[in-house]
Amino acid sequence: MGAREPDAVDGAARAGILGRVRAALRTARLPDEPEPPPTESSLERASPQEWRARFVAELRAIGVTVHEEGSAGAVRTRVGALLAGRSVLAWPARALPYELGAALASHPPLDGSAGRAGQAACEIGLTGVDAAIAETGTLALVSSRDHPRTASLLPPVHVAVVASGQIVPTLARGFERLGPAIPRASAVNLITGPSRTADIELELTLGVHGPRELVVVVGP
Amino acid sequence: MSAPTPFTARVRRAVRDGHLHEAIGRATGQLEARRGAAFASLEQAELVRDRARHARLHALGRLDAMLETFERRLTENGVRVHWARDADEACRIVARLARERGLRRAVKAKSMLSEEIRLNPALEAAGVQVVETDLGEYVVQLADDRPSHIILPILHLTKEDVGRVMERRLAVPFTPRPAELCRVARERLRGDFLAADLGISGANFGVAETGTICLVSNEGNIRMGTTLPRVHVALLGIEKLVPTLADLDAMLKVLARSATGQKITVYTSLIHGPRRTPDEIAPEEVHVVLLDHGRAATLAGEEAEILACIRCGACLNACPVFRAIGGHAYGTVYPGPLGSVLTPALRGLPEWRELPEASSLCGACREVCPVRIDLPRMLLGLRARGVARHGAPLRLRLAMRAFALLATRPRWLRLARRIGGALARRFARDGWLRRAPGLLAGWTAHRDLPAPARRSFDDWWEERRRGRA
Repeated sequence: MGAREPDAVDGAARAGILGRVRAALRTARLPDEPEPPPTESSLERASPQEWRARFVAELRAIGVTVHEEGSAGAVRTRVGALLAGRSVLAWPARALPYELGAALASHPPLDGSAGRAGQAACEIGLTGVDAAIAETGTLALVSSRDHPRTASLLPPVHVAVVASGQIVPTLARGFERLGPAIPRASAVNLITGPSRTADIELELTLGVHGPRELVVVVGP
Repeated sequence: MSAPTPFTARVRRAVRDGHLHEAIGRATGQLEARRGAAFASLEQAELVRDRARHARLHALGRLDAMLETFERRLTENGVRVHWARDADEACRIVARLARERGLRRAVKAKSMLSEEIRLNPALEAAGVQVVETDLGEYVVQLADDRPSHIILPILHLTKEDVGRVMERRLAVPFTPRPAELCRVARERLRGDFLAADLGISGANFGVAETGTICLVSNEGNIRMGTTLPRVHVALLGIEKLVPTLADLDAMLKVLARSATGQKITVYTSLIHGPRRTPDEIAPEEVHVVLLDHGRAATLAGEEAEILACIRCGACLNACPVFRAIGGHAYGTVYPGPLGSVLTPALRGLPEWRELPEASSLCGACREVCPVRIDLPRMLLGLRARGVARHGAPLRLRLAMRAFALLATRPRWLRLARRIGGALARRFARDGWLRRAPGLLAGWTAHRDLPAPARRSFDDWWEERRRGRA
């Protein structure tokens, strides 16, 4: 982290801008309106079973393949089948749920410590999540050494494993659940479906820079 | 950023361009429909908009304290904060960062602010190669063109246009298929991302409470550019803040719905600084440049409310003028209703007086604005100030004076109307006047004028009064 002192030019600029803002605020005529009441989502009052059902429905609506599995063993089998025969970029075993690391031992995946080019050449990325948002079908991934960002970004296919207990109804509840972990992390990435663009004549195209395919395995 | 040809000439050219017309009509129509559907799926949508508006106005109302909190949190998170009073200062800061660290290859996310300060030429002059990575902006850069919409930069190009640009600039076989064109861009840019040592982005929001830099994208280019390069520099206008993460939640609910009709964009990155351990895959340094460039002055004026804008583009899609002339004709970085207020507010009214005139004041922009900015009020206010300070055109002044002369003398007025009415009726066909002389020609060039009735209201009133007497 560049801990150098801000130089003189920056200092003058800072004082100048804050001074101008203060002066502006003394005469500014912004609309002065009372704070509206807080909003509430009916999903927040629903049961965790309903959250899970909504999460799966939202994922399917945005073109995500979802596998719902009833046991840790079934999750391992499913993930094993999804990865079979492909080169894998994964979170390290200690960071994956359902002891997936053990299940992958037969063909060791790359993790974040491998070189960039090697990572970029992998065919499939495997990650857990830190929270999942039912309302929008969103995965929240908190970046760290053990949660390398590249696994959900570089390979053309991203497989994410979600435990039912990680599903929260709304993004607001997700922010609350992650709490102080949010600013502590270098980044929190919210992922909602495969990479897409509609820049050319509004035609939907998948897999521009991120994965073209997102697969979510929901475990017990 | 002053425009090379007069506004009216640019408009005339744009209006005649049938190809452009069709492209804009199709895209804005679709985006409008998607926006409507997306808000229909939002519970308590109007209340969410109220909260989003309140979050922005609340932050602007105490912007000095918000900026100081934001700066403190950023610093605690390990981000280096820079302040820039104007475009030059901002460009110098980024160029100096690159020079001091020996950074030569930059990948850049779409950032209207970087267009505003003309960062790319400044960096290229400093020996830094800059590659645009948003697909639309990449094509704009390859074609040496300009973005025509703040969300869809190549709204004005067909897939055949894009195919020809890539064929010419990248030496690939011509194809008009978007999926193929995307694949070509992905392959080219993959190499750039892996080789880049500098990632440059704007920011959709800054969260004061947590020191969060929030960036959204659908393609994943912003995640690449804020993950792989050694250094990430984010440019923020000082107005971009919201107080808390709860406020950010409200902003995210309305932003993607307004921009593209999605509930949320595919990727939303909440950035809090450099890598936390040497073996984490993240930039070694994260810098934020807080830019004024006219914003504090705008805050002091009648157009302060425009600073609440979240750049969703909804007012462009809803605007009948934007739909008729497209983004380029405005000659500004920010086209459409928001730009017609923001540009004169930031850059000064004398040079940009024509922009607020280019509005039908129909209010569609205010209707769709997710934070309910009263754009028509400000467009009208800017017009009034333009006239008060710089005067109206001579022809209009003379005409108004003549009218005032007549209107205050009932006999003259009646006589003038009788003569005018008789003349108009004589030249009208089937009750419509198709070509009028003098000042009225401006009207009949685009629409017909109904011929006046045989009996004027005054005559009718007079007869009625006499009949009663």
